[in-house]
Order: sequence, then C-alpha cells, then structure tokens
Amino acid sequence: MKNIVILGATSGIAEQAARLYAADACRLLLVARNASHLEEIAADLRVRGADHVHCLVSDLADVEAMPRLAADIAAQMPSVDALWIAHGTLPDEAACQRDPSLTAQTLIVNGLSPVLLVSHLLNQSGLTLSKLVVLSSVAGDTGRPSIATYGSAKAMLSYYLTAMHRAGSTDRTAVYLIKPGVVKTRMTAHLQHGLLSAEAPAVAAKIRRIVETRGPGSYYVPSIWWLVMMVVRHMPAMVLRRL
Amino acid sequence: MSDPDTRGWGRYPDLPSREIIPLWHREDGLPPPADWPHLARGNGRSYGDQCQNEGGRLLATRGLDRFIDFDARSGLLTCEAGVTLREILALSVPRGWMPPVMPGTSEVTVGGAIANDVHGKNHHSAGCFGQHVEALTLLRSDGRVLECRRDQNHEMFAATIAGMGLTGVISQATLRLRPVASDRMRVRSIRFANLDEFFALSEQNSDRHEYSVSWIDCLASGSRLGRGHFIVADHDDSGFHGPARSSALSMPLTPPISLVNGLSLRLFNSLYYWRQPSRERSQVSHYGSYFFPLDGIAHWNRMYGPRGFIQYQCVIPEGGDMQAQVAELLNRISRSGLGSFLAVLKTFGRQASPGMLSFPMPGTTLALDFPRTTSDRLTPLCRALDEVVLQAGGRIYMAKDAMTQDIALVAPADRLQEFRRYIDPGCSSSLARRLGIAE
Repeated sequence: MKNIVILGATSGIAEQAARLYAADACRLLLVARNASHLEEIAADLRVRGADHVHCLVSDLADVEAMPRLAADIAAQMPSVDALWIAHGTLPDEAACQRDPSLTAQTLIVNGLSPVLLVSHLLNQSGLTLSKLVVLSSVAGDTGRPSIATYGSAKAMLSYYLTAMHRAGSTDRTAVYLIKPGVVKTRMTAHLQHGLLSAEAPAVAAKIRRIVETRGPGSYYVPSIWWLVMMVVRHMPAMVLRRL
Repeated sequence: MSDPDTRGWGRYPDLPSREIIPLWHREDGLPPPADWPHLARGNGRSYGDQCQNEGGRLLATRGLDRFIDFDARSGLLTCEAGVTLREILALSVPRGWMPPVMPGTSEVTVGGAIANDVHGKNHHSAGCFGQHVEALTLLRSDGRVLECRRDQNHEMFAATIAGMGLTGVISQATLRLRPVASDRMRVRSIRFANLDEFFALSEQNSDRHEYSVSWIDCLASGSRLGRGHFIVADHDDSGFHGPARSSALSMPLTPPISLVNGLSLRLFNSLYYWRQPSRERSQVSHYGSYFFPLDGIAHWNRMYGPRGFIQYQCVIPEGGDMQAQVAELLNRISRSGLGSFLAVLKTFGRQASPGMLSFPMPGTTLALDFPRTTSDRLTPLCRALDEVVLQAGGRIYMAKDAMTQDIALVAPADRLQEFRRYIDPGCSSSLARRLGIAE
C-alpha cells in the first residue's frame, strides 16, 4: 500500500494516474480548486479500489495559501511515496496577447505556482517525500509563438527543476521532471489532434512506470518527443519560422 | 479545427454537425443552449445516423466516465453515462459481477446501451438492457435534472429506454449486475444444414441455455438455405482465470475498395460453415472472446472500404408464417448476392422491456451487414426486405438502421404518439428527422 498525493487532481493526466493508483489499493490525497469535480473523482477512485481517498480544496495559483497547504499535506500524510504536481491551464495564446492579466495568470498557474510548491514541499517540516513527480511540457523546450505564454511558464519550471537537480538540492527526494507531448485531455480539447497526440490513460501509465522503475531525471512522454524536440531545437530559426 | 469523423460505426452516412462539445463533469450540467438542437453521443457504436446531428450540436459523453458507487453485495452499480461496458467488466468481473445483458461489442457506453435498449445472446432469458436499469438521471434542455426510475417519473423512464437520446442527455445510471462464479463460458456449437433444422434446434435448446445465437451462411440457397452454426452457452463455475492472452489486431487504414465482396464472402462463408469437422463441438472460452469476438480487431469496420456498410436487423413475430417469412428474407438476400460475414439469427423471448420504443418482440431476429457497393443494389434489396417485415407485422431495429424511410417499420403508431410527449424540444438527431420522429 502506498501513500500518494496529487496536486491538480482534476486535470486529465492526473485523474488517469489516480485511477491506476486506486486499482492498486493506494491511499490517495487529492488537491484541486473545484470541490464538486474533486468529489466526483474521489467517489470514482473509491469504487475503483482506493484504500482511502481524502480531498483538500485549494487554489494552487494562490501563492499566499501555499504554506498552509504544505502543512495540511504533512498533517494528512506525513510520509508520501509519490507526490504529483499536475495542474495547468492552456489558454488561447491570442487572448493572452490581448490581456496582460490573463498572461500573468497563465504564468502563475503553470510556472510560478509549481516552482513555489516544490520549494514549500521540500522545506516542509514533518513531511517525508520519497518521490516528486512534476508535469512540465515539451512546450517549455522551445519558443513556439502559438503557445508563447504557456511555454514560457513551463520553461521556467523545467529550468528550475533541472538546476535544482544538478545542485543536488533534491537528494533526499527523487525528482522526476516529466515533459508530456500533446495529450488528449480537457485542457487540449480545443486543439486539433494529430498523429503525435497521445491518450491520457496511456500517458499516465507510462509516467507511473517511469516513476516506479527508473531513477530521478527528466523524461519525455511518449519518448518519441525526445527525438522530435531534438530535431526542433537544432533546426535553424529560418526553417522553423516557415513550419 | 478540422471536422472530426462523427460517422456511425457503419461509416455511412456522413452528416457533419455544427459543433461538438465534450462533457467532462456531470455536476456541471449542459452547456448554454444554442439555436440548434443537441444530441448526446457516446462511443459512436451505433451504425448509421443514430448519433449524428447534421447542422446541430453533439454533446460528447465519453468524458463522463466515472464510477459513482458499487455495492459488491447487491451488485448495484451507479456510474456516469460515458462509461463503457468494457470498463464496467474490468471492474466488476474480478469481484464476481457482470452486466446481465451485453451486445456484440463491449465498446458501447452505458448511455448508448440505454438509449438503444440493446439486447444480447440471452434475450430469451434476460430481456433487454433496459430491464436491468434501476435508475437514470436525465439532463433536460430547460435545465431540469430528472431522476427517473420505475416508481418516479416512470413515463420519462420508459421513454428514455430505447428513446434514441431524444428525451434528454443521460448523465448517469444505476444498473443491477448479475453474479458470476467464473470469467469463463461453456460454449457448445451445433452445425445445422438448413432453416428447418435451425427452428428445430432453437425449439429444443433455447430454454435449456442462458445464451443462444446462430451464425448463418447468407449466401447458401435451395435445400441449404439458412445453413449455419447454432451456438449455445452458459456461465462456467470454474473460478477466475484472468483474460486469455489477446493479440491486439487492428485495421490501420481504410483499403481503397471493400475487402468484403462477392468472392471473399463465398469463400469465408463456406470455410466458416465447415470449420468444425464434427457436427457438434464444445469448448470453454473467456467471456471476452465469447461475447465480443470482434473487439479484438480495432477498427474492423474499415474492412468495408471508403463507402462503408450498413447493418440490417429486423424481427419477424412468432405465430403466423414466421418460418416462411424468415425463409423469404433469406431467399431475397441470397438471390441478391449481397451479404456479410456475420449474418445472425436468433429467437427472441417474451420478456417485455420497459422501453416505450424497444425493438424486440417474441419471434425471430435476423441481423446482417451489407457492404455499400458502387452500383446501388442495396436500396432495392432493403426495400424488398422491408416489404417482408412490414407484411409480417415485424420491426426494424432503429439502433442499426440507416436506410428506411417508413416510420411504421420501427415502432407502432400509438407508441410513437405517446413517445413524442416526452421528447426534449432541445434534442434532435439525423435519425429522428429522417424517420419523422422529431423535428
């Protein structure tokens, strides 16, 4: 039996991951902003076999609320086998360009919030974290105009975790930086999906397998994105602009 | 956004909707109404225009895929409408329960199974899917959320079962599952040489087995008309062994022409008929390969090529000239040379579904698919079959139909008149407009 915490538990990949843990009779602590969505998911996970599901309603974009949240998690589940940070939003980039407050919100939710949460959680007394799983994105690897704001936030998150890892400041906790490609979820329902778009249950299963069988580090999911991003990163800007 | 494929499983017809809105959370209710009608769409397993809504809105329900409650003592399962039978089975079988009625694929959603009031190989012993629905929740376009059961909103309950999605959007349902002692089925297959032998076998065996269905060679004629295999089955009691090793097959793309044509059909049907050397054969199978033989091949519907196929299923009522009328249907099909790999004959039982427009009636049902060919020989054949059905006082199964224009073939006039009182004015579908059920 394992103790699992999921921040952003109503997001598509997180919900699928929670189902896998539930089927293995894990104890789950779920955190998200929308109480009614969270309750729907908790009931589902109980039917699927979760040993115990507890919900905390919290706005993960609220920086002021983070110390309290970290303390609540420590109180509910002092010893955590895996903690996932999975929340995110993907607004229309054109809307972001028109509206600075939406830009700010997008940067906070996808970048600042997960970075600060990592910091709070690693410093929280009375909380032992074996593994920390943070969902960034391939969008953080390169500057694509159609996802400039979202990508910038994810770039910040990826950069921070990579640097922390190199500095050895995550030695007590194994940190997994996960960069999913395009995944069919509620967040991406408005996008046109192509051959590279992956199904959320498959992506969640792959991430879980990585977390349980591999060491800490940075991973693309599905792994084909490693190749895709390497090509994209090495493409001359002139060519990239025409794509 | 490019147009996603919203065709039915038969990949014909193609009637694009104006918009597709996915539903993710039942508590959020329906999106703000538009000037055009909406229709719930589950996993797209009905064959024709049942879950298409040309020019309207489709509400995609696959995001409503959560369980709500399961009582492992009583077998009562409550789940959202977008949960598929495959997902239910994965959860319930290891705990000793199974949906009591299952169609030929496990990929249907609970909402779709209710809206089409599907039946299976045990119709004679268990009736339709709707008989095992204890409760359902309906989201109406006026914002009301109706809890429907036999003792509450019972008319709306009856209209929604087999209601083709026209009474509102089903958001969740409570099903009564049946206990099983094993994940295996005991299957016995008996070869029969013609239609008379089928009726004799059916008479002798149906009551003695929970499941019974026949596959027939729809191209055989003369003294061999209606030859095939009579397959009966019961639940085993040997415990739970886990799924058989499955090889995942798929049709990766649509071939330029149908692989189902005159030549391949004759070959397949003859080979299949002679597949067992002895007249009778018994075996024990995993429930998956027994109930859902085609689920092992993803996208098998692509086999029919870019023009797709139609499925024809009718029932000829018992009494009267049932045997002669079934023979006449098979004669007309055999003469046409069109036909399918999977022609199915089954005797329906007397169980009455609560569904107002439910399809089954005591008698014999025939189901088969026809590839759509370039020369349109299909329309005259369907008309010729409809003629026999109409004369016999039978029915066409709305869940599969894509062709008929005659509303008298799908339900009795008095039932339809009553049903119309429960239609949600915000709902419509291409099928409803084709048949004149709703505007």
